[in-house]
Amino acid sequence: MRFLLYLGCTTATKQYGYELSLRGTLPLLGVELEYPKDMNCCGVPMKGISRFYPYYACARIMAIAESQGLDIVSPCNGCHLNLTETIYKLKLNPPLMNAVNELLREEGLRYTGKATVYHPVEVLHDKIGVEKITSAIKRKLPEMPVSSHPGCHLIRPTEFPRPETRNGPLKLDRLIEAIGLRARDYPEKYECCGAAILPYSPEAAIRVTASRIKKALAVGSRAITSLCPYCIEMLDGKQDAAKTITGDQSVSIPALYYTQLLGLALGLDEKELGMNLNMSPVEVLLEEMRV
Amino acid sequence: MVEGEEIRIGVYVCHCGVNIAAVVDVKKVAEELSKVPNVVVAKDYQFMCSQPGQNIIVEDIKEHKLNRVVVAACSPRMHEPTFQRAVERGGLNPYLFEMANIREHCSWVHEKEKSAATEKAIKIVKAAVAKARLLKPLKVEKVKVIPRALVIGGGIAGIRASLDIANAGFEVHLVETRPSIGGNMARLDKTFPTLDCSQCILTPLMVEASRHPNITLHTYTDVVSIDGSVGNFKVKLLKKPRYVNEAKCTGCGVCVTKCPWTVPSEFDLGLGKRKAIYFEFPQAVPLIPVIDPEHCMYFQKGTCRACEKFCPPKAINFDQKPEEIELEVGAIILATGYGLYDVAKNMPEYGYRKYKDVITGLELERLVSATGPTKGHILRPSDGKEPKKVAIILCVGSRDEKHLRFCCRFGCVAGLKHAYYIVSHIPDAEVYICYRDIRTFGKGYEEFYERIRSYENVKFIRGSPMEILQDADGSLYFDVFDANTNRVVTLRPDLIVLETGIVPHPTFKEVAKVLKCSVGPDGFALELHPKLRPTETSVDGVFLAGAVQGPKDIPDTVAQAGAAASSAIALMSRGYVETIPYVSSINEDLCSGCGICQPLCAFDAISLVKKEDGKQVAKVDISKCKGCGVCVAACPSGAAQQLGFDDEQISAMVRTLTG
Ligand code: SF4
Ligand code: SF4
Repeated sequence: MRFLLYLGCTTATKQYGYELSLRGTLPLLGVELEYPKDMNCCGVPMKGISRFYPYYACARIMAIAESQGLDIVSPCNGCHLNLTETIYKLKLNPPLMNAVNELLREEGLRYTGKATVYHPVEVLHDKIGVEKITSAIKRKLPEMPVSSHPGCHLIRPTEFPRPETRNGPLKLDRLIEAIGLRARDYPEKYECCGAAILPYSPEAAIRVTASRIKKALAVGSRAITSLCPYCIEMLDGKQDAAKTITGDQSVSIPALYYTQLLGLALGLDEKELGMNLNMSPVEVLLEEMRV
Repeated sequence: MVEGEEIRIGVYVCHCGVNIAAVVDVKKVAEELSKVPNVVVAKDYQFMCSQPGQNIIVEDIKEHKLNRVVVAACSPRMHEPTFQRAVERGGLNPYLFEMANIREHCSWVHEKEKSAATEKAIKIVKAAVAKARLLKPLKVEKVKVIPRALVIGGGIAGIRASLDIANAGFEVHLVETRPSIGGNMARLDKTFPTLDCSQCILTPLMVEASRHPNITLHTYTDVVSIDGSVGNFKVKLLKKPRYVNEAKCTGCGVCVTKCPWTVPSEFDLGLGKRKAIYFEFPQAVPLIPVIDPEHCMYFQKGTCRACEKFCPPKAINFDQKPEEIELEVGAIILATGYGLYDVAKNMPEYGYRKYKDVITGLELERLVSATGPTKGHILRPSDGKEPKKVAIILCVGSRDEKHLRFCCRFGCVAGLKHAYYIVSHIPDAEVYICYRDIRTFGKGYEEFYERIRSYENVKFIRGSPMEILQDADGSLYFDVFDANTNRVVTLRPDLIVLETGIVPHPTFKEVAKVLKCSVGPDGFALELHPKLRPTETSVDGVFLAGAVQGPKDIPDTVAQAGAAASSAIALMSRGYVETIPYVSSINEDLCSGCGICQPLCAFDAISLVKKEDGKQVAKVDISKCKGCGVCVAACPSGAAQQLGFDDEQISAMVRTLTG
């Protein structure tokens, strides 16, 4: 299995732990990752200015993958949605496909719809499979309750095919169970992490994040995990701010990428997984896991 | 008209006020047409459909000895019958008339090309004249109507319609799939806006229906098939076994008391329990219990028979078999009602069925009802405690393009009534109504809204909840953006009531298929005309009453039931129906008996028969044929011809138009 790893801006510039843990774990499960030499932003930040530009930006990414005969793995929920939307819309709208290819021609690129995009949750759950993951485990993790925060765009909007649906258990939760942990539900699991309003209303955004963490703590979860760089940026990176804004010192939980947990189970070292870069108290978790 | 008689045609060009005349030069059309062979007189007039317009035709027929009439005006849909009657008054067969459409087909679509439009109109009218030359008189036959009606569905719509028909002196068979009549209205505690007790106004009608000498009740019975057509339907019913001899049973209920097995009650929507042998509800009509074999110890394990042992009149009969009933009726009323939208499956964000304290409005009715599972006390399902804070959410699934696009037309007022239930039962309770718009259009509804709105402990929030969530301590909460105050409000109610959208009753789909009647995109029965013929269907003799046609409250349902009944009564008291003259007719000499036409007919009108000489030919049952022409188009031999539209006539029109 080979994929072209399209990181997207957030993972490539702020969330190195995600990249490290993806590059550390996937090859151990038989997945080869190619690193693209030439890449661009998925176009989401331009959506408010141009409706066309994001289609072009995403089509370019897909065209590069197609030129190499590969599919994309996109670890960011936002990029993944934008890429999926583009694939979907271009297929239904031949004039749009032509317009995009007109621009790509200058670079000798062309997108025909052959290459497609996967999210790590799909690669892990659908392509590799939980059995294979369970049998690859090197280190037994204690059966502790962990809560997943899938993030909006893993599930929404329902107009386009999304990796997860709410009709039944999440793939992400099955993956948590696959490495010996217990997936624990909590009330605000499917809600927004707060990142969407961070630029406009930082205080409100952080209150939202604090609420999610408190709900997970209230059901007894020992950690919160996700496969979205925005969710972890909020849940992991904003705990100090949350304490200040809410005045509640209890807003504290280890928050980390599922691929970091997976890496621990596969016997990788915490440094190799970038866990020294996490800002939430992951050392508490590591401590418990060593017991 | 005598064979070989000279053809004398009158042509009348209508101005339709300015609809036609502002674009088409009607004088020129009349003038050109007067030059066409066989046209004896050609005139234009402002409104041909008016009484003076029609009189011109009647008089000209006499004065000019016309034997064919062509009117060039609007679409034949509205006024063809008008002009046919005029021609008949003039003494001609009404089918010696032809209509040319120069409005929809010409003036309305060629507003900017007046002279070309006039040329086109001339061609259209000339084509009609070409056909008129070849018209033959057609016959309309009268078929007897069986003076007996079938009503499908025993809710308030079916009961009301049955009583109206029965009171007019006709026999009625009322079929209900559940063990008792009463429908959804029997589940309600009170009815808005007057707050009268639902059972108190419904039960007398149920009893009246069961005692009426003209009404035969078929409860616990399904419709299996319906054949035939208006005036002469052949119906097959299947009566499911109750395992109780109806003639012997006295309704004493000893069997129910003795039965050791309990299961969730359908009537109480799973909130209460019933026995394996049960009455649908205490006021059931007929008051005869039913054994549910899926939960009966005897049917499952071969032991028990307690009911049989204790039944005083020995009415239990474990060997009862399903019984087929055949009926012939002249008219059918569909009154299958509604079911609730499946919120548990389609809208998981509301947590219905996931959380016990999220209930539907209909379930609240059962909690409030004195005969319901909590004996009329509002107690929440999770722990049996009295809720002090209740959220009522309107438009759950309704007016939502991802779910049901339409309004349920009673959820708002039902929600107001439910707020009334809560505050009248639990005076210190707080009620929050989350709404998008409050629609209180019915008589007395706005006044009722005002009344509830004035209650201090009923608060209105303009917004739909985000997801309903359960906190670590088990309490339910949700955020809702109140558009009136521009704020997100977090509510933590003890009980949440969903006013869910409604869908056609699940049994309707099968009935619609059996009847071949049209169904709208929303799944409800499609009426023939949304304003002018709301009780009729695409199938003659089949009428609609109540929510089968679309969401309706009780007053509208009862009104429509009366209208459907009077349509059925009109049909039966006239005693006959006229056949359509434009039916398909088979030329047996040309028919090869290939049978291509037979399966194509959507109305089952064609059969293949053997003639005396052994030749197989197609035969059209003119009481079923709707004149759609499908067989005519399909017949490879040209044997099938549609009267009034035969090949010769159509070819003459085409030649004129293209020549
Ligand atoms: S007959 Fe038709 S076209 Fe003429 S006035 Fe009446 S509606 Fe208008
Ligand atoms: S399709 Fe024509 S030829 Fe064949 S059976 Fe029907 S009427 Fe006769």
